[in-house]
Amino acid sequence: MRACVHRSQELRPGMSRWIAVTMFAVCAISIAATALCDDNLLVNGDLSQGSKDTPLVWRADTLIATAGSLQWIHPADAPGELRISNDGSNIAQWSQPVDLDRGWYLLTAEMRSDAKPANGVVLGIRIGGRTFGVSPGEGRAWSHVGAYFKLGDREEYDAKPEIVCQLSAKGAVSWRQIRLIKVAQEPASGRYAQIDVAQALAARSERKSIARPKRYALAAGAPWTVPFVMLLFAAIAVAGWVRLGRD
Amino acid sequence: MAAHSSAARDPWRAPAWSRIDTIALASLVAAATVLHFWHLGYPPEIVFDEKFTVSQARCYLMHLPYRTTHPPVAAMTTAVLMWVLGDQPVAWRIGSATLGTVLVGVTYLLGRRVLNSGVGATCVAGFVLCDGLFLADSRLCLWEIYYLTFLAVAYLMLARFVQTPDVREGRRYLAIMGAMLGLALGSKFALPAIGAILVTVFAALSLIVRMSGSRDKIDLRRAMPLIIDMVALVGGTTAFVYLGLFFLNYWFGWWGGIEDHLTYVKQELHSQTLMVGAHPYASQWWTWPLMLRPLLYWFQTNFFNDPQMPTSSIRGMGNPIVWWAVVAAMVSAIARAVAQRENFLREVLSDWRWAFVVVGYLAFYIVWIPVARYKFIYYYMPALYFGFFALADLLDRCWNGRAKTVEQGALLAVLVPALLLSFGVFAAMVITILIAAAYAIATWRDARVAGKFASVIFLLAVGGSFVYFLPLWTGIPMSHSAFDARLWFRGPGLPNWL
Repeated sequence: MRACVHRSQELRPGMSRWIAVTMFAVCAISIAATALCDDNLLVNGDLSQGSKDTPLVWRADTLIATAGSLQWIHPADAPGELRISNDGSNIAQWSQPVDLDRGWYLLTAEMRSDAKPANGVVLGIRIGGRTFGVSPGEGRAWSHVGAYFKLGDREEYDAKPEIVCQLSAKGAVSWRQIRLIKVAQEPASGRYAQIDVAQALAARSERKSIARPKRYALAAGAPWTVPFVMLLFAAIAVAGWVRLGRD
Repeated sequence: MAAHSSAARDPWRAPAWSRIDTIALASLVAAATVLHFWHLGYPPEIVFDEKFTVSQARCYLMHLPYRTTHPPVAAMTTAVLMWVLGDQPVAWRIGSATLGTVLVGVTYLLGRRVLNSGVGATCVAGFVLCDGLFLADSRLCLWEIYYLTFLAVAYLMLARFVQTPDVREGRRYLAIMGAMLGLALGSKFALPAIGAILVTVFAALSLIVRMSGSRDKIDLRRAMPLIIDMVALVGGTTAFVYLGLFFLNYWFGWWGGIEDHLTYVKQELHSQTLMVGAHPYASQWWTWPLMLRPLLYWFQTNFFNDPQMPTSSIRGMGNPIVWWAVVAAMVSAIARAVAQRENFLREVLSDWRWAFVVVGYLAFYIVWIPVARYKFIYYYMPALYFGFFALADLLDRCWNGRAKTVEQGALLAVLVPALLLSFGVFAAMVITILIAAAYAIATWRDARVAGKFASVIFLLAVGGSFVYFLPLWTGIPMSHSAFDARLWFRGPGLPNWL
């Protein structure tokens, strides 16, 4: 009986090998398909990859090295997260450079923060020396935040854009599941804020360059009149000075 | 300033300086330095009329002409600072910040001489320090603080001249006064001329008093030659400095001679007549003392349409409690002048200081009534500067128990609308009743204590108002609700706060 059972569960020779190959192929195709279909423009956006305390690709920066801390938390049974704590005297950020063309992009993440003030926490894009982004609402639970960004041509920016997770306020903040996707057309107003980075930078550039000359009427006066009138007033002043000094 | 109560203190002599004066002056200047230079580079972009001053400065650096209404002192100073520090916001504004800090110190020195009181001088310099319009303008590259500071130094020189017995010794103050008037006229078109006329008239008045021997009998004939000499010294110096400030226009060949300068003045005077009709930031002259229509200098460009995000703005608005109390103080000062109308000239000759404050306020204010062009609230600043002196005098008299009960009551009454607008009806009523009860008890016990009580409560309110409105003057970010709470006058039928 036992042998019979054993025989009935026994596969034909070579079959197990086929199943193993098939399963491997299915897995490989699935992974490849997933990778090909994932439209996240960020590398390691789910924060699952890295070594020791350093997440793959993400860079940690602080204004003051000793104050506050930056951590990559990656438990086996939960999504990875980027965390910054700050005593309020520092500015710290995680960042990742990105290659972005003209168009609309949607940047989203899950955030939780107890930092005060709330606008000291930013998920956004740093470009042209400025950071554009969104801050979390109040509350320590994970919340989904995001914003659409409109970018201009690459040559309009003096440096490569960076996606930044920044804290300049007192407290702690975590980000996870960070995604940046390209949006085919201008988004309708709705869930996410819309930030026209191209327009903002163009406006700043225009403001910086205001120095348009405004011409005077054609110079018509005789040059000798200037020293003459100046000397006349100087003489009047000296006369007043001398006469007031008399006994 | 109190002609009627400080007979022992001769207004024609300099008051004694004490160590407390030194400490008060140093503290005020230190506070002004912090307030004016803190985050001076923010916002890092052109704000309001900086587009004119900074553009003109850039054109100077590029040797390009920039025809504008206002004379060149602010733009030339900015150009020099940009040449040294680079084209950056701190360089644009460091001139205003420095002069704004100087203004606080000069105001203390002037207050010491005009009010003859350390308390009064501290108050008047404190008002300049704690007023939003003076603060905001000290942190931006605009013309106002330039000409106001130069005028304030001219007033101080007038006080020094008047309080120097020897005319020969005092003429150096007249020379400095002339130079300062030239710089003031070189900073803002036409308006500082009122200050020039004012100080010249009061310098002449002091000469009349000196030459008359008795203050009861005017001897104009003896004083006239000295007055002519004084006008020559002051006027000649003023004109020399003012004309010299346009040297770059000649140097670069934009102007050929004095005729071009006259053409510029003529054109700008004519252009003033064309500025009629509506302007979104304009306000009527009668709205200024009550601060009904402040203006918006700058607001953070809202790239994202998220109402949860904090917002920042910088507003050309004053400290409402100080402004409203200035109205009460000026009414009190003018009422005293009217009461003395039969002996007005004798009173003026007896003590020039209160007349200087009242005439200065009215001269800079009334001049705008017939002007048809659209006007802005910052035109009120030179009049307000004299109003600060009247208010400081009122506080000084309250503190020393010399103010009437109605004056003390007026000082406390201006707090009521502020309490109503900031705390709501119920809380305002409770606080008002508590203050009124405490004041009544103080009056019942001792009139001097009541005066001190009114002064302290008022100054506490000024300090609270300063802290409350500071974000609107410096652009500190705030939530939309906090921001809305500070815009007291909004709604149909009201001249909205911008």
